[in-house]
Amino acid sequence: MTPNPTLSPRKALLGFCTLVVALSSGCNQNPLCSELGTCGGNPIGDWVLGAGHPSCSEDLYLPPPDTRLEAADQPAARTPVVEAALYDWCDLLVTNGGTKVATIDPHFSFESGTIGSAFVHYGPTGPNGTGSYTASLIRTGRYIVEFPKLCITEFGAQGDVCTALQTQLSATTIHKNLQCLGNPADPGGCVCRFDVALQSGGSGTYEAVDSHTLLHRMNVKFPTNSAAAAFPQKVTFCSKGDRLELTGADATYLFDEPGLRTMDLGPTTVNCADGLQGPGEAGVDCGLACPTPCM
Amino acid sequence: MNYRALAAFGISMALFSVHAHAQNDEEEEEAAEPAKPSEAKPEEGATAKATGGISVGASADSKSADASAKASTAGTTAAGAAPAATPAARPPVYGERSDWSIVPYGYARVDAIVDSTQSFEDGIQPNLIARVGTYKGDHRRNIFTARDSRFGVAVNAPTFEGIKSSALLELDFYGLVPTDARRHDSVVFGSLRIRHAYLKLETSVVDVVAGQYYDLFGWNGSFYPATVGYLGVPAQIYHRNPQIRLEKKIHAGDLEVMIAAAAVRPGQRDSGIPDGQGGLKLSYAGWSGAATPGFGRAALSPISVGISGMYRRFEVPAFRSEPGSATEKTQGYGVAVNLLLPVVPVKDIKDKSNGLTLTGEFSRGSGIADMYTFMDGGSRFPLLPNPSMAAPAIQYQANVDPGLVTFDRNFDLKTLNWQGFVAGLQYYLPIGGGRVWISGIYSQIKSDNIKKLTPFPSYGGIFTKMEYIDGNVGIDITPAIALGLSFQTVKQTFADESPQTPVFGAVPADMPNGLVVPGTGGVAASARNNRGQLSLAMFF
Repeated sequence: MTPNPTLSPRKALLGFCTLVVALSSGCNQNPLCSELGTCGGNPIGDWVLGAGHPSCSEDLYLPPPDTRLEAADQPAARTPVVEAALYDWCDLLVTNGGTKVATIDPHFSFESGTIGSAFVHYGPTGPNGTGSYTASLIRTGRYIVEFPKLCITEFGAQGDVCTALQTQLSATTIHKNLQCLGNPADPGGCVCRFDVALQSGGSGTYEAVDSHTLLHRMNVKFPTNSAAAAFPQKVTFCSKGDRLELTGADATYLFDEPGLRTMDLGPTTVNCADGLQGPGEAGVDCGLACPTPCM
Repeated sequence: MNYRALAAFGISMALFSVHAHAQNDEEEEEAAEPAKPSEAKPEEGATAKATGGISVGASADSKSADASAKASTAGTTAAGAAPAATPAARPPVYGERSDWSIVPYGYARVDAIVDSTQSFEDGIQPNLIARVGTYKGDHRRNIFTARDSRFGVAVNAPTFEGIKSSALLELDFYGLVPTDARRHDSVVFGSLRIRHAYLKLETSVVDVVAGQYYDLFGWNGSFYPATVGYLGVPAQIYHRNPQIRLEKKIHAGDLEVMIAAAAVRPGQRDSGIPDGQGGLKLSYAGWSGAATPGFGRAALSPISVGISGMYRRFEVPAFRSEPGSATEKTQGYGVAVNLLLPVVPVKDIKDKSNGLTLTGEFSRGSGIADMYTFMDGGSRFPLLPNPSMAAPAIQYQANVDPGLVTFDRNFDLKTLNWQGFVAGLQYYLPIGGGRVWISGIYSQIKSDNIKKLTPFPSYGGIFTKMEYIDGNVGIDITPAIALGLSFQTVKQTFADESPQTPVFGAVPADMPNGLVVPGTGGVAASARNNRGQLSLAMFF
């Protein structure tokens, strides 16, 4: 092949370099949660999620922890590390033929729950510019877990195991509204439906970094009320009186909750002594903003 | 003479395919004498022959040869006794030196890559793409590497009693690196890797290829699409394997029919038998076009159609903490159809102007994910139930690579299904005789049972579908130096679904009898990586 004098290598190189520079600008994936307003304002008050005031979380995949590997995650020298594996078909459930059907409770794995209920309180700032905040978050959702026939019968359980499972697990699991039935798609297996209300969040102090950015310092972690030593976290905000928009600054997760990017909160008044479940409460006069935890 | 050689080869093949008999009882086991150390060594005659050959070949200096022999006798290698390296004086194994052809070839290449996520190494392999919202999913990666440079030697021996023989060794720099190697070392040091290492015997009856070469399945090497990106692209059958292959070409004018069968390294060595692959390829040289395999050199390629298939067997320990000798068995298979169609043919590869060529591949199979270049879809074996809560928990001792088979909800061994296709188009612009070309690829691969074979908590760790699109521009700056630019986008659809939209403000305790709107989830989660790539290579 004879090189064509009309095609200048210099021009070709220049053109390519230009294209490379253009491409190097990249095109990243679009986040599911767009940043909310950053107009600043006055965040002080009580705020909750509600109709027209949603939260937004990225669709992360957080594999469930394998509680059985706690003693096996540090292999001895010269032994191969444990290979990654799929999870257990039985979701850790082990049944037997005794009176206690589930000798080992299932994990009740679920995925990517959304923060469906939240109470956020910003107190007034003191002379040093620091105020207190509380963020009580509840990840909610309805999920289904299927237990194959083999998980039910492998170790000797017999009879109406699904009903026995529901009776036993309703008393022991933290999940609500548990309902276990025979699985028509897998005769001999069970399918259980459950509601999740997983509390998280915490409380601490905040201060203004600039007109539209707050710096949170969490020192109590919910729901254990244990002392927390979390990294300070910046939050951009926009308060317009009837709504407070919060966004994790610099693409961080809001209140260190995995996946949570934004919350669009509405104002509320909490009454923890009216005998009714109102805004900011997880039960009747308990949970979220109320000092009494729900049982 | 060549028939005797073929007969010997046939016997070797027969022996190769015979199953090793399992030991049936203890008496036989005890009766079997352990092999004597001397039996484990090669035959003395063979050793002497080889030593003699090496000695003679290594040096024409008799003193050096003597020193070498003494060192061998002592069982040590004396540094000072090494024969002088005088390759120019080395006589050939047979015939005259001038009858032998030993040709080095290869290319030096550099790739500059920008990825929109931190999901991949150099090639777009079927790793899981990092999701948006994660650090790796939200940030770029930049790769500079010369590891795809290659070096090879092709050897042709003089014809011996009607048998033409040749051999080829080809290396690149993608060898395994220690897991604790620094990123710098793994890229800059670039350990060697065998790509091809095979010999070929050509006789009037049949041709034999023995060694590591492209897999016959998918007619690797004959239907590759043109792309600046790394082969194989997602969904493309692209694999090399040690094998023993028999080929037969039949010509009728411009028509060539090629039939081949091969015994190939098994997908699971503990299955005990090799994989079987076979294929038929039709080519018509009267209708040819320009085809560039990957980012290689264009060649005049005839219109071709290939069909191929493969079979393999799996045998793994039963899915129990103490399986004893209990096994689970299953079988895998694959079928593929390939096409190379010169839509606008060219007559001379020196002038490819306006040449337009289509390449296509459709494949379907089960238990053959490794044929798609490191593919596993994220599938693994499930964890063993641990009823005794033993700590550490007992792990299933898998004896097969992940992604080929797994245990279903009834603990039965199942193969994973995959179906893919790759369509590529390449066009040579009328500039400088086709020195500038553009190409594009669309490919897709999906599985209809990987989700069914995965416990639901792991849905987020597998993908059920992968789609790939690229667009490329290549320029031959000189006949030996090529410059390429490529944009590649790849999307994975995972098995998990987006979370349901809750009734904001309500918690489950508020829900009377659980009768609530279940939410609006149900959209399969997905992730995408975009890549820009600049490549520069000099071929020799």
